[in-house]
Parts: sequence; structure tokens; C-alpha cells
Amino acid sequence: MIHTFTVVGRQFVDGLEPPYVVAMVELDEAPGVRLIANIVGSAPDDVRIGAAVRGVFQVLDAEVGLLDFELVRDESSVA
Amino acid sequence: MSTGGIGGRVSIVGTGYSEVGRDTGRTEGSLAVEAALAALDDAGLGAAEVDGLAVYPDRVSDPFEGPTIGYLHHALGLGELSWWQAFGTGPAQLAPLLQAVYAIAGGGADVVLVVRAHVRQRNPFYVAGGRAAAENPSGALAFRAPYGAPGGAPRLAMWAQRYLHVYGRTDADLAAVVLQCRDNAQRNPRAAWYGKPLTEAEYYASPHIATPFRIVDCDYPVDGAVAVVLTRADRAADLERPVQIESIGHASGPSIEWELWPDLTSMASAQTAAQLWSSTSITPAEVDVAEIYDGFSWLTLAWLEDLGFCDRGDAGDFVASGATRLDGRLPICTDGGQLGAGRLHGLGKVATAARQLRGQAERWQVSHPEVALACAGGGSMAGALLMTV
Repeated sequence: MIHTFTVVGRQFVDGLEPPYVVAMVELDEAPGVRLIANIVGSAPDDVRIGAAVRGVFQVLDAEVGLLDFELVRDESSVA
Repeated sequence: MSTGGIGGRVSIVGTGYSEVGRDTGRTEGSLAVEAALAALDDAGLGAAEVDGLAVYPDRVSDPFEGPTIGYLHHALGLGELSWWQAFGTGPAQLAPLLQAVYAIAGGGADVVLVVRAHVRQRNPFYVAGGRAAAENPSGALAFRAPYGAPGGAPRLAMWAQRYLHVYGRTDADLAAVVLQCRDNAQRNPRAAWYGKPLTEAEYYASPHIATPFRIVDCDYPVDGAVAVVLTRADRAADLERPVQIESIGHASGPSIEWELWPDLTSMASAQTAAQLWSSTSITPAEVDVAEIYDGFSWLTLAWLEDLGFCDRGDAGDFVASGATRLDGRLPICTDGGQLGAGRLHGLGKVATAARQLRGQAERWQVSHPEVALACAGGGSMAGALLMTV
């Protein structure tokens, strides 16, 4: 679930072009743990606090990947 | 929590600024020396009497860089020191001042010069992000930089967003802070936004940098230095208009890692405020002027609530009511703050508060203040001090 988020409108780091969404995601399976991640696959304006999300992996190469999240309405597989 | 009975044992006896500007063309060291000499002159003390030196930021452990402490010691012609320390992190960039208070109170030094000097980063991408950060993870940044939230605006924007959500508030609360700071800056010729007032329409037209923050919700990076001279209260009695440090706060709160902080609607400023008030009989209602931290507009709202100046969720209304204007019951950010005058980190807050108490605040002077508060920080970093004359 999205605990909070921000829509970034300006470039802050090399290698990531705005706009993008950064969120703190809480996991049902690990209370008290929050992950910083990008919310991908939807328009930034659709992101809401409290929205259910599902993890998706962005594979950079054979050894490095990033965990992103996407909005879901299917409650069977939410984080 | 304890602050070790600091009350009344250490005094601020001088403050000084360097030239402050967007593009001074000068080095951190040059700015630091200018501010330090101005502070010593203000105190009526010479370099030979300084036996303690504290500097923020150091050159190794913080994204902000200052002069080396060795350069400063040499350039100022200081002698053998009883105590010295350069700081990169800790309680909100006030670490050098707060630790100097302890050094003096504990007998480790008699006259400490505290300096903050910085030349703003010209390279906006000083932290790698995205793929580069993911492939070369570095400390805690490994969990943020790949997602484009290395620090600063995106990181604190998420706290502000949560606050607005929980209390059902809007960006009008943020606007109130920014508009007041920009208004106060019109009295201060040293302010970065002097001569450039901001209208409400211009606030809302400012582009979002990381929602809910617009670019004008972020403090203005400048080149500049500020210095404060501290000494033992008994020694300060021989100097002009000493300011007594009544109490200090520097608590971490429940987590030093910001992302694991339980309640994002308040910060370590809550624990730091509790520590501050627990070691004094002075109450929030007795504060005459408060140099509240405004690195981002929302931080000012959180600090006002955490310090007990208004109720939870009410800080925006409190500011919008005019209570925090120069003629209000609790003037804040009197020199224009970091949003209006430029970013000098926490030490600028202390210098501004001390100058208010010493009657040196020029056109932003509050009428005869006797109790002043200065604070700095966001997230798990918080430092504060209460001063009296």
C-alpha cells in the first residue's frame, strides 16, 4: 500500500528523467518496513495515498534489478 | 531527556556574516574567514582569545561541502586550540554549535568560534541515480538514489504529502509560509530575494519540483558563511549584550533512518522540543521571536506544531492568521529565512535570533525581545536552542 508519495517534476539525479513517482510502500507481509520505490505503469495523477500496489521487477542486467510497484485493483496479490 | 543542565552556563557574544549571494565567485574559505572575523569583531574578541573551533559542513561526510577546518585555523591565525571538530551530520547542521555548548559547559574550551560556510553546488546532479546508483550502491543512498529520491525535496515531499493527507490540509498552508518569508525578505538587503516579492498568484504558478513542493517551497541555495562566537557565561558578563543559552535540544526520535519513521506528520523536532522545554521553566507562550527552520516550507509547519506553538494540523492557519508576522505574537523567519534570504543552514537561524536579542536586527527588528528560539532540521535531524537576555 502506498503510505505516501511524491510526483517529481524536475531532474534530481543523473539517469532518471522526470516526471516520475517516488513512493514509500508498506508491505502487508512486513509490518513496520517501508520501501522507497517508483510507481510505474500509470499516470502520476492517478497515484493516491492508500492505493494498493503490486511489485514489479525492472531488470537492468543479469545481476542488477530494481523493485518497482504498480497500481492494482486485483486485491488478491497486493503488497 | 537531559541536556545536562546547560541553563545559563554558556553565552553567545558575537555573530557575523560574509557576503551572501547566488554567484559570489568566492571560495568557502574566503567566505568563512569574512564571517568569522565579523563575528569576532562583533564580540569584541581577537583571534588570540579563541581556543575552540567548530565547522560545518566538513569536506568528507556530507553532500554539502565547506572549507577544511585546517584551512580555517590557519587563515584566521588561530593558536593552539583546546577543542576542535568539523561536522558533517548530526542534529540538523546545528551539531557544531550544540557540541560547542557542551565543550564550554564541560570545561573543554573557553571561547569557541562556530562557522558554517558553503558555496552552492553548481552541478545539480551530484548524486548518481537510476541505473548508475543501482549498480554502485552506496550506503543508505542505495535505497533511495536509484528511485530518484537521493535527499532534499523528493524525500521531504513525501512527509509533507502524508501530513496534508492526514490532516486534510492543502498547499495553501505551504503558501502561507513562503509568502511570509518572501515578505520579510523585502526588509533585508542581504536577502537573496530582496527586491523580489512574491504574490499568491506567482506562488501557485511556480512549477512543482516534487509534489506538494513547488520550487519556491524550497530554500534558495546561495554562497555564504555565518559565524557565531560562544563563551562561558561568567566571561561573557564582561562583553556587550551577551545572550544566554537557556536550553538546547538535539534528540534523534525513534529512527535515524527517515524511511522507517513511524509517523511522517511530525519529525524529530517533536522529541527535540520535548528535550528543550524539559530543561527550562520558560514556556512556548513566553517566546518573543522564533527563527523556525524553513529549508522547505512544510518543515516550518511541522516545527511550529512540534514546538507546541499551535495544535496539530493547525500550523497553516496559525501562519496565515498573521500570528507569525513581524508584528504578530510570534514572529518567525524574521530576516526572510532560508526561503527568502537564502540557505545558511541552522547557524543562520541562531545568528538571526541572537541579533534580535542584541537589538541588531536592522529593519526586521522585533520590539524588545527577551526570549528567542532557533531551530533547524527535518526528518530525524533536529536541533534547537532557547536564548534569553
